[in-house]
Amino acid sequence: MAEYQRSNEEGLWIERATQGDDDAFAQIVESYQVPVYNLCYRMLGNKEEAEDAAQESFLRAYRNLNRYDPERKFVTWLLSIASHYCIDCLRRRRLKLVSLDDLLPRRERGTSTPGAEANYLQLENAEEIRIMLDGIGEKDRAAMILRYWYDFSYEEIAESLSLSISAVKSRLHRTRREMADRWNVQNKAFVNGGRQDEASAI
Amino acid sequence: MKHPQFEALLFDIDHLGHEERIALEAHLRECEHCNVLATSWRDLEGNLISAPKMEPAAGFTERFRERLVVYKRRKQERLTLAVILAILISLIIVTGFFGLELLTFIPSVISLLLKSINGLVLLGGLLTILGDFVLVLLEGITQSLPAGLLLAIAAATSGLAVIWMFSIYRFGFNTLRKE
Repeated sequence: MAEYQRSNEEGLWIERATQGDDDAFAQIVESYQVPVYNLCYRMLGNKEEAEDAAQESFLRAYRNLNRYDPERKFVTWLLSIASHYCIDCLRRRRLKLVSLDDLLPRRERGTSTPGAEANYLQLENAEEIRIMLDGIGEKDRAAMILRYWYDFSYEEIAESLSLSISAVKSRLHRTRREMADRWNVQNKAFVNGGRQDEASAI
Repeated sequence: MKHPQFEALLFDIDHLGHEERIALEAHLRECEHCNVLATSWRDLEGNLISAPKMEPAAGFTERFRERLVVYKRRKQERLTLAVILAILISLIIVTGFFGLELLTFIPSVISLLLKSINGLVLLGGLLTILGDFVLVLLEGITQSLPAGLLLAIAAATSGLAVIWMFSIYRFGFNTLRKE
């Protein structure tokens, strides 16, 4: 969060933007586009949706700028808007009719040859984490992202996601536990898959 | 301390006190399950923190500006529509409440209209009489005065009109423009 500390310039932009200066708000967009987009990408998992969500988050911030409390960190407020929007997007997405293919676990998709599976298991860690995040609940995901990518404190997460601090702690604990288990299972599968490949090669 | 309590500590290492840390380390030496979990979490946490920051495609702010313009236009349209609807609804309500009373006004409105038309006709007649009078006056003047004097009067009047218009342009308009 240190990189997004409030500067005097930022205070001025906010003040001018509140008075209806669109150029000042464009400066805010320019400054915060990366953290907001990054959050949306981590939450939604694809670039197109992340772009749309980030744009919409800024638009919501623009509409509600007069409600911003200058006592709060601007970036916390902005990311809170983006988190809520992404949570809504994920809920809407969940409600949409899913195809049978979507209901299958991700690993069972595509060809099941050992080579293809091995390739899948050798995906970059970043992609594995993205998939792992896709598998957890919306608010839990938001809490994890804010904690590990934005270094938010428990208090800030609670404020951003409209939760109590104890709820944040328990959600984070449960999610960490789940993710660590999955990571462990995944690594075991990778090791076993490698062994099977070696055996079939022999 | 029981097993689940150690698990809770495992995921909150940053906030552990000295004694809790020692107890957890001792537990991890004995419990294989927690040891595996701790190792997995350490790997995962490292990957989470070191994951690259995603950036939007170039021109994000310009795209936002375009979106803002669309948003403002729609807002304006919605506002206009709301005002029109409000006026229509008000008219319907007023007509509904005072419809019968309004009906009693209609005859008086018609008589007012007829009076106005009558007045306009009278005004037209007066203007015609005035025009005839001016024509008779001009005819009298042109017949009683010699042609040379008439031309001199016309030239002098035109000259005065030109001077008057020039002075208005020079002093009136220029002063206004400067202001």
